[in-house]
Amino acid sequence: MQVTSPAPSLCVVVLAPVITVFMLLVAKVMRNDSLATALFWGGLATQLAVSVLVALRVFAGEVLVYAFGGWPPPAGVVLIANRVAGVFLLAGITVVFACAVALKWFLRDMRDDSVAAYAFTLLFASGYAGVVLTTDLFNIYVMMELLCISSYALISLKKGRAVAAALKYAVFGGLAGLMLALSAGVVYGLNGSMYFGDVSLAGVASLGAAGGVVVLMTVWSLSFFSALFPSHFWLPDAHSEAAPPFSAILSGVSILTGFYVLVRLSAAGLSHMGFMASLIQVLAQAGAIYAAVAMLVQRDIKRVLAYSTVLNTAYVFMGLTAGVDGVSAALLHALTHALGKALAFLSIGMIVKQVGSRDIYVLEGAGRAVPIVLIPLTASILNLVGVPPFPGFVSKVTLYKALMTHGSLSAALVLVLTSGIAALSYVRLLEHLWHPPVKRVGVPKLPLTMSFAIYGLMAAMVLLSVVCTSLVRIFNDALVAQHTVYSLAKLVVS
Amino acid sequence: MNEVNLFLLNLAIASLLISVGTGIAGTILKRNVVKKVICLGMVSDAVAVLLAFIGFRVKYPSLPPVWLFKEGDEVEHALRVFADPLPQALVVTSIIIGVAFTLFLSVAVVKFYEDYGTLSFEKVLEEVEGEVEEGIE
Amino acid sequence: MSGYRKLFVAFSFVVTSLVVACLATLKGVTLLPVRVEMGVAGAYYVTHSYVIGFSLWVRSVVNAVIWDFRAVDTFFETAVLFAALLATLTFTTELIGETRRVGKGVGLSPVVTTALKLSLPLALAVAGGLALEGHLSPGGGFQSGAVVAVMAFLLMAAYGVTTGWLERVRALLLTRSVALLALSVLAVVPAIIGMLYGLGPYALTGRPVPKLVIPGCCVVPVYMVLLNVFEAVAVGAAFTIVGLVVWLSMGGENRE
Repeated sequence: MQVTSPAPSLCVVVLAPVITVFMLLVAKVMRNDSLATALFWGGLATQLAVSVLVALRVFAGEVLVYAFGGWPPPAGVVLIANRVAGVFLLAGITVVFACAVALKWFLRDMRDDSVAAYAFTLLFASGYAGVVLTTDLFNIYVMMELLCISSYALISLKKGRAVAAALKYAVFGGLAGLMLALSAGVVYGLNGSMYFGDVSLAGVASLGAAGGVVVLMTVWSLSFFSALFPSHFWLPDAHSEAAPPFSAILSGVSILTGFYVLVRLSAAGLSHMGFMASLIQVLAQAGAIYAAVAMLVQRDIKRVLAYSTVLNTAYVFMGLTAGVDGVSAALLHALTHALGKALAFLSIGMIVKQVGSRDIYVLEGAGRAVPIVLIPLTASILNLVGVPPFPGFVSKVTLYKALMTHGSLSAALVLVLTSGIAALSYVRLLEHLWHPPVKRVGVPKLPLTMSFAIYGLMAAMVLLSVVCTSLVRIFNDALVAQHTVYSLAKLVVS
Repeated sequence: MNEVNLFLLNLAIASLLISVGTGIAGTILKRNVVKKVICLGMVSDAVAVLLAFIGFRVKYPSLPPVWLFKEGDEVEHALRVFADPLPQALVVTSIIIGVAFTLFLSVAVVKFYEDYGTLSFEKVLEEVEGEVEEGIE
Repeated sequence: MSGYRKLFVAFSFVVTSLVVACLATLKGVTLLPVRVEMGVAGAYYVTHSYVIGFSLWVRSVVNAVIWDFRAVDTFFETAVLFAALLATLTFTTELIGETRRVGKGVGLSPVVTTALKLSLPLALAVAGGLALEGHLSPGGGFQSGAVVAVMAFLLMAAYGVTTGWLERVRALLLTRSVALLALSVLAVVPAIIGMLYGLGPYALTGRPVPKLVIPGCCVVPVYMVLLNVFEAVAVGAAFTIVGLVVWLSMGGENRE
C-alpha cells in the first residue's frame, strides 16, 4: 500500500465547488446568467473529472492523503481517500452530475431563477465530497451542515408544499447536527483528539458514562441523516415534495452520508458494541417491516420510492451490525441502491411532469406513452427489486449471506420477507406504467440532455453490475486496513 | 480542586444539560413551528456554552490563550495556564452555523405562513398520507 | 400556562440542577469531561502559533486555530452562512414581489438619531479594530462583521426603511460577492506559492505566505489580516442585506 501525501486532487475535489459558487455569486449580481451557468458547469465538470482521477489512483493501489496546511492530525484536518472513499466519491458526484444535466428541464417549476439551484447543487457536491474524505469529527459536522443546508434549500425551491417538508427536515436536521457538534467536543474532552485514527466508537463507549452518551448521540444523529426508523419521519415528505432531480440527489447521495461516516469511524461498524448493536438491529428490522408495508398503501408514486429508500437504509443498518463482511455488503448495497434510486426518481420525474400528477391511478399507462424513459425506469426498478443480472441482486444476496454467517437469523429472515413485500409494490408500479394507455397522453419532446442524464446513469448501473462481486472483496480489504491507514497517514504527515 | 468549586462547576453544567434536554423536548413536542425554532436556538446556545466549558481549566490561575509574553518565553508555563483554544474555535464555528440555520428557518417559517396561513406543519402535511394533491407534481 | 404552573416548572428546573450537581460532587466527578491538561491538539496550537523558528506570528491562538490550523472549517462555515443567506434571498424576493407596500420611512425620535450619529464612528472603529487586530486579541472577522451589521440594523430602525433602499441592496450584494471572491482567492494563493517554492501545495494556510516585518515594532501576518478583513466585509454586508430585504418584504413600516 502506497501512501501519497500531499495529494492536491483531494483538496480540489472539496474546495473547487465552493470557490465556483463564490464566483457564480459575483456573476449573478452582475446579472450575467450565462456566465453563471458556464461557471456552474465548469465547477461541476472539474469536480467530476478530479473524482475520476482520484478513483483511478485509488484503485491503482495508492492511498491519497491531504493535510490542510500540512498540519499533522489531530491539530489539522486531514483528507484521506482509500478505495471505499474513492468509490463513494465517484458514485455520488456522478449522480449529482447526472441530476444537474437533467435539472434544466425541471427549472420551470422552481420559485427562483436557475442560478440559485445551481449554486445549491454545487454546495451540496462540495459538502458531500468533504463528508466522504474527511477524518476529523468536527469537520464532519461542518461538512454535514453544508450538505444539509443545501438540501433544505434545494427542497424548498419548488412551488407548493415543499416549504413545509423542508421545514420539517430542517428543524430536526438542525438538532441532529448539534448533537454531532456536542459529541465532537465531548470526544475531544475525553481523548484530547478528534481524529478518526485516535477515536473509535468502541473505545469512546468504554470510557464511562459520558462516553456511552456520546456514542449514543453520534449514532442517533448519523442514523437520522440516513433515515433509519424511527428517525425516518422527515424523509417521505421531503423526498417526495422536492423536484425530481433533487429527490434523486437526496435519495441517492445524501442518504449515503450517515452510515458512511459510521463506517469511517469504525471499520467493523457497530458489530462489537453490545447494547448499541442490538438496539440498531431491532430498529432496522422494525423499520424494514414498517417501510415495506407502508410502500403498499401509498398512492403517490414518489412516496412509494421514498419509503423504499427507508427500507434500503434499514437493510444497510442491518448489515452494519454483522461484522466486517456485513459492513462491506452493506456498503455495496448502499451503492447499488444509490444508483438505482437516482435513476428511478429521474425517470419517474419525467413521466410525472408530462402527466401532471403523482397519483398512481392517474399515471396508468403513462409509461407506454414515453417509451424512451420506460426502459431505464424498468431497469432501475428491477434493480431495486433485486433480480439478476442487476447489481441489486448481487448486493442483496451478499447481505443475506453476511447476515446468515454472523448469526442474525431474524435479520436475514426480515430481509427476505420485506424484499418480497416490497417487490409487490414495485411490480404494482411497473404494472401501472406498462399498462396500455387508457387515456391520451401527449408524447413529449424529450430533451436530449434529459436522455443523456438517464442513459448515462443506466450505463453507470451496468458498469456497477460488472464489477460488483469484486467490489465486495475490495471493500472488505479496505475496511480491514482502515485503522492502519489512519495511523500511517498520521506518520506521513508529521 | 476543592468541593465548592466542583459543586459550582457541576451546577453550571447541570443547568446547561437541562437546557439542552428541555430544548430538545420542545423541538420535538411543540406543534407551533416558531416555538420549535426558538427551542432549537436554545439548544444551539446551550451546546455552544457546553463546548466552551470543555476547554476551561479546572484550576486557577487560568488565562485566555493569547501570547502576551515575549516570544519563546515560558512555553511550559503557557501550557499549564492557558485555556484550551480548540473548543473555543468549535464554539465560534458552531455559533455561525447556528446563526445561518436560524436565519434560514425564520424566513422559511414566514414563507410557510404566507402560503398556508397556519403555523403547524403537521396540519399541512397530515393529509398527504394516502392522498395526492392534484395538479402539482 | 398559569402563573403557578410557570413557577412550578422554574422551581423544578432549579431543584433538578441542584440535585444533579450535588450527586456529581458527592461522587467526585464533573458532569462533562473537563480536562486538567491541555489536549494534544491544543498544545500543538499553542506552541506553533507564536514560537520562534516555526511560527505564524499570531498572538491570539484561537484566531490562529480558526484561520490557519482549521481554516477548512471556517471556510466551509462561511459557505454555510452564505448558503443560508442565498436561500433567504430566494424566499424574500418572492415576498417582496407580493407585498409591495411602500413604507413611509418613519423613523424614531431625533434623540435616537443623534445618539446614533455619535456612536456610529465608535462602532465602526470597534469593528475595524476587531477585524484588523484579529490576530492579536480575541475577535476576528465574523465578530467584526456582526458589529457592522448591528449598527446597520440600528440605523435602519432609527431612520426607517423605504423602498428606495432596494437599490442599495444591489450594491451590498456586490460588496458581499466580491469579498467572498477575495476570500476564495486568498484560500488558493498559499497553495500556488507553496507549489512554486516547493513547500507543498497546501491551501488555506498562512505558512508559505511572506510576513510583513516592520523594523523596530512587530511582524504582521498579512495573510491572516486580509482574511479577517474580507470575512468582516462579507459577513457585515450579508447580514445587512438580510435585514434590509426581510424588512422590505414585510412591507416596510406598516407591518411592524
